[in-house]
Amino acid sequence: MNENLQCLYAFIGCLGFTFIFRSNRYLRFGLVGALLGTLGFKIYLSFNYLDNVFLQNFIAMLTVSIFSELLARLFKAPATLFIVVGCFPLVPGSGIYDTMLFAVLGNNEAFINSFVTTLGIGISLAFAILISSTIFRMYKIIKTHDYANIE
Amino acid sequence: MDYNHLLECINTIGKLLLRHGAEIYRVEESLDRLCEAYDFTEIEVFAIPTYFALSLTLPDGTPYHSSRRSRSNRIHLDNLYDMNNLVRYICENKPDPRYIQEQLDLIQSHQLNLYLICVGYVISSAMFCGFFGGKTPDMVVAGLIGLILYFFIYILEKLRVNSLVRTLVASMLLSYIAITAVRLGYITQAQSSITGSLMLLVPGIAMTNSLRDIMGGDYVSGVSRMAEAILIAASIAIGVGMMMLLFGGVY
Repeated sequence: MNENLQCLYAFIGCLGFTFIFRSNRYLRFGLVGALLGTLGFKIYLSFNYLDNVFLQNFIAMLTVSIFSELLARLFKAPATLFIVVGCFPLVPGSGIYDTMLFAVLGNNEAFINSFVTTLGIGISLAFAILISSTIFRMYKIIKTHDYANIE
Repeated sequence: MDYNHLLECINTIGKLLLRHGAEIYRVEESLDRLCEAYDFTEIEVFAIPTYFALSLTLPDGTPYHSSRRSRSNRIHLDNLYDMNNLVRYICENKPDPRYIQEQLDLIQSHQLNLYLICVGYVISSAMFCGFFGGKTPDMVVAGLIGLILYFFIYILEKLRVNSLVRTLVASMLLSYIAITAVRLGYITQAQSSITGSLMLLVPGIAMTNSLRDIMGGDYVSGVSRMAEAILIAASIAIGVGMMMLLFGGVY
């Protein structure tokens, strides 16, 4: 499969999802989010040599969410706007579907396999988003000297 | 200042944030900051995906408590952006409640561009079909499925059908169309058309968000969203699996 073609599909697909998520008036956010999604998928592909879906997803999502936080500062918009669209090519949509299909078909071994993989990808994505938002929160606290009181 | 009106506006802001898919911690933080801006004390906010409770003490010492329920939540990025700007503006300038009310009415009065949403269904279904390895005819079928699904889901939402039933029926319809296309000989395999158009229904983002809530410490919200995501995934699989068993094997 041609990777560039796949990236193009990811870009237009993400753009379509911004419309579905009711981003009709501010097209610039949709375009930026779709670009971020493509970037994330490109990074996922370029770390193919690691041969580990969890790590690949983690690195790709970490990049996407750090960029989202930076763009959120730039555009003065919530980071969710970019993360929701940008994570679409990485989100384990087909994994969830496969898992449940194996469950319905009664193929228990494949079901457990696919379930663990899907859950693992979900956890890696969530960790990546969490880590980037923690970094930016730490930066804000250091900048404003709003340290916590340790009791 | 008219505190009743102001608190009414703050509650509406919280409800709109919740309804349009803001993260739980953002709802809590926004309400917290809004109340702090107007010098309320002892502010406590608790939010879960369909409900939030707010209690505080007014500057004259009167206690206040309110809660709002938001049954149907869906992501609405435009309004999320507008609400974010409004919250930021209020915290900096502390405007009169009448001004906040005007802005809220303005945000809620924007009409949706339904054509654009329809186009979104068609192109994302077709493109994700290509993304999962479909050829051109597969993508055409997936785009057609997206178009039909848009109208189907629209009608079911108008009829207030429960989201689980909606997903079940929609996934049955989409796999039926794909299998029929294979039988008529337009495409050779139904797999990529089905997975491509299923991206419209699959709760991938709900699942990632729920894990994020859990890791961030909002266990109640995270677990309830996780249950929702798993049930929706199960209803998709039951719909697709049923049609596959009924109409000719697994492709």
